[in-house]
Amino acid sequence: MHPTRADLHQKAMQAAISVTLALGVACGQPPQPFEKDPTVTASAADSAEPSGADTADGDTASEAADDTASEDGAEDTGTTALGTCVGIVDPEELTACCAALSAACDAAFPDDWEAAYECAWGAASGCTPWGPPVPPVA
Amino acid sequence: MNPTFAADPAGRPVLDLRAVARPPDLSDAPAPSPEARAVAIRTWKGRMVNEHASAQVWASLLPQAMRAAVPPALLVGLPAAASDELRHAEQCAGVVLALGGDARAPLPTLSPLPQHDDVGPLEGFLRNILSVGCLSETVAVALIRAEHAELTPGPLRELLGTILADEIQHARLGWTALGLIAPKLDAAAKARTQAYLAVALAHQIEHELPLLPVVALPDDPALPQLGVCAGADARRLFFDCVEGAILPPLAGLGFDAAGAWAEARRRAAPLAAR
Repeated sequence: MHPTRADLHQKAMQAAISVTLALGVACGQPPQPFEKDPTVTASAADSAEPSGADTADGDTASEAADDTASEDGAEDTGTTALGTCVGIVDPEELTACCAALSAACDAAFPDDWEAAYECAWGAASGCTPWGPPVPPVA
Repeated sequence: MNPTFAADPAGRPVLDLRAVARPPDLSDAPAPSPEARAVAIRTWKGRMVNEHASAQVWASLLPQAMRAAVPPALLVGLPAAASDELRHAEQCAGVVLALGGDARAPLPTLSPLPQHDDVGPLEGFLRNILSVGCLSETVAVALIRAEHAELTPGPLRELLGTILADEIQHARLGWTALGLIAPKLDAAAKARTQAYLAVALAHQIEHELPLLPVVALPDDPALPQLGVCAGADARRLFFDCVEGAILPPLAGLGFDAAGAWAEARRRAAPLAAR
């Protein structure tokens, strides 16, 4: 039987809680058994869409990319004609822009992986793929 | 192994794992549409780059930990984690190849690991391991566990299972280090770490959520069976993981975890809205 979303969520939460038990062991405390039904806020479980769901609209994402494509910085940084997300400050808007740009670049360069990657993730794009967990400075 | 050292036309290094990647047999997986396949390839290629870059982060922690005289039992976990991440990159590259993609990508330029020179070496290391091990890796465990649970038994589930097992160890390493070091902090150091906690949590929001876009994926039932999660579900899980798994043990150490989280959400607004 395919697991329900609630099943997936609970398994994920249990896994996350289980790794934190190492803290108690390191502190010399006996590990506490984690709850079978870990804390899951009702608002999260019941919410159909996150508050940023309006950006799920493809038009919105495209608009974000289109809007920034005309920025002066695009030509200066040598990016492709498909656009750039450089200069976008709002994180949600940046996410939508980068997703739209990535899809556009894949479509524009189906046989040239270097060009597609440079287009979507190069410095001129303003986007990064799966940024690594480099810690922040204080 | 016949390693190649590639660079793009601009001279930047290119990660090329075609020679070392072992494609899993995905012949039993549902065939995706061309659009969905492209999404899956992009996702796994991004993971390939990310895992490779994560190895650099773990490796960078080692000299800082050694300067802080971290016990050898913990030290050995750092290069082990780096080695794990390199293997994960190869595993992800294998999936890229199995999907018909090209397991090459220019490497992004990473920010250097913060040394936190404003504090002593042990406190500086604590900040970094808190961010990397306790926060990032614990969130990774939750997200990967959900993806793993959704996969039907087969080679891709096995592959993701091995990655999950390693990430669990990385997260445990972080929490173990925190448990050993945090009780040694004096009041001033604890106050500074409390302030840093808000910074690190805000960084999690800024780092993780853009990786979990709410942009609609192709409506293809094959995608979850190719390890591609729905961004909206993953976002809910991210917030629940922080609030349900990460904050309570931090509070147990005496930190004002809820206050730090509230401050982090203020810093990262409007992204921090659920």
